[in-house]
Amino acid sequence: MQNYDELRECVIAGKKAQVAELVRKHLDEGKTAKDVMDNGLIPGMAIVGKKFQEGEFFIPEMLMAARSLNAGLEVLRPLLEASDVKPVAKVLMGTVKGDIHDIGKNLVAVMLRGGGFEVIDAGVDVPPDKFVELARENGADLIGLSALLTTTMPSMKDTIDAFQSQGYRENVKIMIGGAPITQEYADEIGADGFARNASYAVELAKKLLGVAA
Amino acid sequence: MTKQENYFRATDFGVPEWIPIRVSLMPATWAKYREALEEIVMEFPFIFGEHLPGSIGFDAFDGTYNEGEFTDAWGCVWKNVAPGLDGMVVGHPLPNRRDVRNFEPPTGIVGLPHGFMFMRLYYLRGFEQLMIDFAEEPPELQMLIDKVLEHNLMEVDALVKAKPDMAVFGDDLGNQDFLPIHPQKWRKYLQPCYAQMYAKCHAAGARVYMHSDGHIIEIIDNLIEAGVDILNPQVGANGLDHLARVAKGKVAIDLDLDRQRFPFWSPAHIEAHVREAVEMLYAPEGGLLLYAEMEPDVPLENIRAMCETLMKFKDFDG
Ligand code: B12
Repeated sequence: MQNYDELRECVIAGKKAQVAELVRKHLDEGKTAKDVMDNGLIPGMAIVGKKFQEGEFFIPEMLMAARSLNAGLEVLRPLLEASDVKPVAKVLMGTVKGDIHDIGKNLVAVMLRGGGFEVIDAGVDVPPDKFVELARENGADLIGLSALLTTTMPSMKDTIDAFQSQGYRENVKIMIGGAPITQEYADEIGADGFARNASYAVELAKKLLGVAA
Repeated sequence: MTKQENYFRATDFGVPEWIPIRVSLMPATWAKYREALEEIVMEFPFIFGEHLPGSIGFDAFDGTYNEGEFTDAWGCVWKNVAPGLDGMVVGHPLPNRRDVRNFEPPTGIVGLPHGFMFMRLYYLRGFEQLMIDFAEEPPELQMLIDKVLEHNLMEVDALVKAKPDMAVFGDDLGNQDFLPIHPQKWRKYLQPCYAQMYAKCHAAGARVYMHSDGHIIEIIDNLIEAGVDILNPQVGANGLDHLARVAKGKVAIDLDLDRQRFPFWSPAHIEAHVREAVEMLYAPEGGLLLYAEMEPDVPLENIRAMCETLMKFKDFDG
């Protein structure tokens, strides 16, 4: 029996082809798809998140790791679907109305996928009502709002208010982030949480949804 | 002493009489406050020059500040969703690596807009594609950089023909608290580009002014090596203490005061912020300039407070 060390290392090093190959090998050895995902791929990506937090990895390394993880997930997907394994939760991510900065939002989405979440990308310049509509349509458990401009921070509040006024606030958790955002601001507008970067965003998402880290 | 003489004394560490100060108002800020903003502008002629009432078309934005889509000379498609602010590139002409091989930059002089080098690379490729290029370092990465640089060198030649005292450049190199790519890769691929462009400016007798948004502490030394004479860094993303440590006395700092806080501060906070900045970065020989950019969410009273505070601290002398 082989453990997942090599698989994890390949995720961290962003070796796409090897990851897919090792995933197949583990399946051939009789591991379940869920086990490979939960104990091989996702812990590998968690280490990537740590390295990013600590300033050892930068965006290129993080994206390479995400790509290799996706290559592994591609192999697992049909098996996961067949055995009815659901993603950890569904997250709807978007940049709020008036704001078009999407680099940070996309990185958060990448890391959330790497943490086993399904992410629906609402895009940029998303009006409050659109967030509510997409959340309902997709059955999202968690909403991630991104704003990079002080001028668009009020759109975050408007979005939370829209969830409230449309009677959907109880169905979702809402987290916020972006360069000018602070925990204080999150508290002020009634968001459920704030995270400073993509890696903390995954920890926060898990905490908010009560998913084991 | 004229304002200009004093400005260059400050940039050249030549003992200025006062700290040069500057306040800029985004078109969207004009559109929001209109005559009320004009009043402030007229109160501070030292900052804004002589202003004639009615001389600003509050809603008449220049080209790219208008809502909508347009394509620039490089084939990048821009979209603007907030009139009076900048837009972003939504259409990248080189999504695949092989596109880079056949790519031809503009042949004529089209100017060096904000985002002329590093940002231009991701405008052309798409941000994630470019980041993957920096990870894998295929030959197309260097090829793309060479093509953009070759064009930019031609632009610099045209720019310095008129023998300006200063050439102004802007390219956002940082994120809020880190660089997008490893500083070593930045030094390997990007530093030489800026160095070549800035050497041409120096050869023509022009100082080099460079603006960069974001956290750039790790590469300020390299920007100085590359020939930057006046640096315009963000306070918030870099931290005053770090800026004092790596840049004070080595390069003139046109400090981008913390616009990420202006909307939330009281006038007293604004004064405390400017005071702290001046106390940390001032030196009698010069090397400090102060800059405040006002987006439309800054309350009018804070815009006025900033003008008053800058007028007060421009004469700071230790
Ligand atoms: C790149 C950039 C741009 C690019 C954007 C390209 C793109 N496709 O996104 C362009 C050139 C288009 C642009 C335009 C503008 N920009 Co801009 N931009 C930046 C810059 C340099 C970097 C932002 C970035 O991409 N960072 C990289 C990512 C990885 O970091 P991040 O976004 O912070 O995201 C991380 C965290 O914040 C967090 N996070 C982000 N979202 C979320 C969401 C959730 C739920 C969670 C949990 C976490 C989280 O995780 C991410 C990953 O770790 C910043 C500088 C800065 N200090 O941040 C200015 C900056 C944000 N821009 C600024 C400005 C002023 C503008 C313009 C108004 C400029 C103008 N003069 O018109 C326009 C506005 C356009 C609009 N309507 O939105 C100012 C904002 C100031 C303010 N008042 O708030 C900044 C701070 C620069 C400055 N000098 O002050 N910009």
